[in-house]
Amino acid sequence: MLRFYFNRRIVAGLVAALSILFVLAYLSNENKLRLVANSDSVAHTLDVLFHAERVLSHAINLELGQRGYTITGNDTFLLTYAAARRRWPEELNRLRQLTVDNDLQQSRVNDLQHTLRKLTEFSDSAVQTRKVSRENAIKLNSSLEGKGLLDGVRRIVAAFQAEEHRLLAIRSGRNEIGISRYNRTFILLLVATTLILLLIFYAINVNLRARIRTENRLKIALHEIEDLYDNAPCGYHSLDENGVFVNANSTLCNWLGYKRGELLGKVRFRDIISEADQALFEESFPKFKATGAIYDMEFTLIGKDKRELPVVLSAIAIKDKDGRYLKSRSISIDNTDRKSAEMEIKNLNQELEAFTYSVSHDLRAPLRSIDGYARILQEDYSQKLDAEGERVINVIMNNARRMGKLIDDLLEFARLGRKDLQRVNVDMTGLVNSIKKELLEEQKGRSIEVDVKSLHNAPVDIDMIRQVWINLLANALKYTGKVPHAHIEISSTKSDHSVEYIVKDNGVGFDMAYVSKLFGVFQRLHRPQDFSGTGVGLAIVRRVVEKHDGQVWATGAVNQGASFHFTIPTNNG
Amino acid sequence: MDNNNAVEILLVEDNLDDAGLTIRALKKHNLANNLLHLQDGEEALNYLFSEKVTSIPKVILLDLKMPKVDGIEVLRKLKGDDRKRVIPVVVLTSSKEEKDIVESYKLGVNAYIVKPVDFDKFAKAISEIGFFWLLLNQPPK
Repeated sequence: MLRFYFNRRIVAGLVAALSILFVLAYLSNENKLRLVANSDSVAHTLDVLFHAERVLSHAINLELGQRGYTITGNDTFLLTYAAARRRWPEELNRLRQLTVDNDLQQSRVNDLQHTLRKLTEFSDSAVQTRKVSRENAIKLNSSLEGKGLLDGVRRIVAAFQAEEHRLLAIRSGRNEIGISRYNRTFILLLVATTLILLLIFYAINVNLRARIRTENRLKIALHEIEDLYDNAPCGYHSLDENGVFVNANSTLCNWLGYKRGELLGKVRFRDIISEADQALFEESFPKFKATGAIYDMEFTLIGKDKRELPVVLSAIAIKDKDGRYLKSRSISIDNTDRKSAEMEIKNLNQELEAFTYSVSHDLRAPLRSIDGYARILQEDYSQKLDAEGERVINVIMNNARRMGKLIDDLLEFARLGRKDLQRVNVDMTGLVNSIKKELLEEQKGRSIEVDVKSLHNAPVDIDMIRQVWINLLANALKYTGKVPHAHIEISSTKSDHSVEYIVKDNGVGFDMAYVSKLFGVFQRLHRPQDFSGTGVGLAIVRRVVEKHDGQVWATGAVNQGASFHFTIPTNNG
Repeated sequence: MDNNNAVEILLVEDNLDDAGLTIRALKKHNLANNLLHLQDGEEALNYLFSEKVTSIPKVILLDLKMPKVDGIEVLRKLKGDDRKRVIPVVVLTSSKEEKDIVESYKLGVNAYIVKPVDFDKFAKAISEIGFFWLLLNQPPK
């Protein structure tokens, strides 16, 4: 934009300068033509003056020749006389031609002709008279008629010449004004041209400097980009359609131990990955070329020195206008840390699995024995036991069973933590109604109303969410156990991104001061003798809901019921 | 052919207390007359694959977690053998591990029962197993 602006100014300046030069050339030519015309008119005037002078001199010679002959009678004078008499009409004709465009001068030429004719007639008669009588001729001359006619010629010529001088002066004056105007214009235009050229020079200079600055900045930016590409903390490369390297940054080259020249155009990507990854690459590369993108592929790079480097690779394809694959823009991130972390997690998970496996086997067996043998004692030795003995045995059995339940719940809690989500869109109303039916089977004899509204569906893991509903509904049933008429309402509301489910009861409720303890493992707000329980149920609810990226919370007040809420996002990913 | 002394139930269980409870539960319903109790997987395999034993039990109650040879291994050997694979095997274990359940069924177990801690439930489960496999089920000849 800036460059274009300068260019336009420069072009405009050049056009202006050239125009002025053309104007100058035109004016110079005009001036030259004027000068030529002027010198022509001066020459013309001089010509006119010359011929007028000649006419006058012929008139004088005519008179002079006649007088000389009259006085001396010498024929030599007649030669002069005859020559003058013969020539003046020629000269006069010439003069008439030269002043043909001037009416005043033409009338003067006519006057002159008239006067000269009279003079010629007088002279002729004087010469003829002299041939007869000298005295009569002198007498004729003494009449001064000749002199008067010659003076007339002189006067007319003088007037004629004065007029020509006047005309010349006018022409010269006009010419001078033209020349000085021309000179002024010329200088003005010259100055203007000079200024314009200076401006053009300045503009070009500014333009050039801006260009150099931009170029320098570009060079710096280019260098920075190259540096970013080359020395980024991740590998960059590009593969052509055959999977051959067409570009690679220094980081990747260093990882692999290849020089760039050894890679580009020579080595295929499959040549530098592990045997185990070959099938993955064979499968994913055509897919990548078709779809244009691939993300988070795990490969193990094999360096020149056979060193292994696990990387995570993502790539976007560069395609031409027709959508044909040209090359990839690929990024590889060193995955060593993540890999070892993954291994660590795997090991920890294995340990945890071994632990829970052991717990489920080894802790349950002794409990079963305690319960079982206490039962045997009760069955086989009842006649030997008194009431206290019976009570003690019941305490033993109750505790063993309670511990068994605790272990089962804990294992379930641990199991849910490790399980992967399998989301499907679940018919919540149907699910909750079937759970309600199941749980109400165990509550016969109580007055219970469970109102299941029409619930919104959501994408959930059905096994996990079933456990959530069982726990929440079982809780509601348990904590309404002491009210004469239990009322439980299950409903849902839908917002843009999630569904909120609510289980509301009219049971004993809880003190909001302890709400933070509600969802913790082994946290209970009630004594076992009031309400039995292990304190794991709500912890499982929380774990499942959080696994679904939802939230769970509760509100309530002592003896005023409780409501439990959880949300499930509907547009995950 | 049908020997009165032939073993009907083979109980493979390393925990003697557990075995006692199992036997007691079966006895209550008179199902433990022809019961043989072996205490680990090795003993079980030795017994089952010995030349002397010609008859096959109606059911094997197999614990999983045992010293030396565990239940899964016993199951693998039995179900991998052309002659022995017809013997019904019920896994009777404390483990509710998904891994064990899946592995057992893959190997061809006939039933998988998790022993409840509660003795009443345990006794009920054991007697039902006994009734089913000894009286209801028709074994291959």
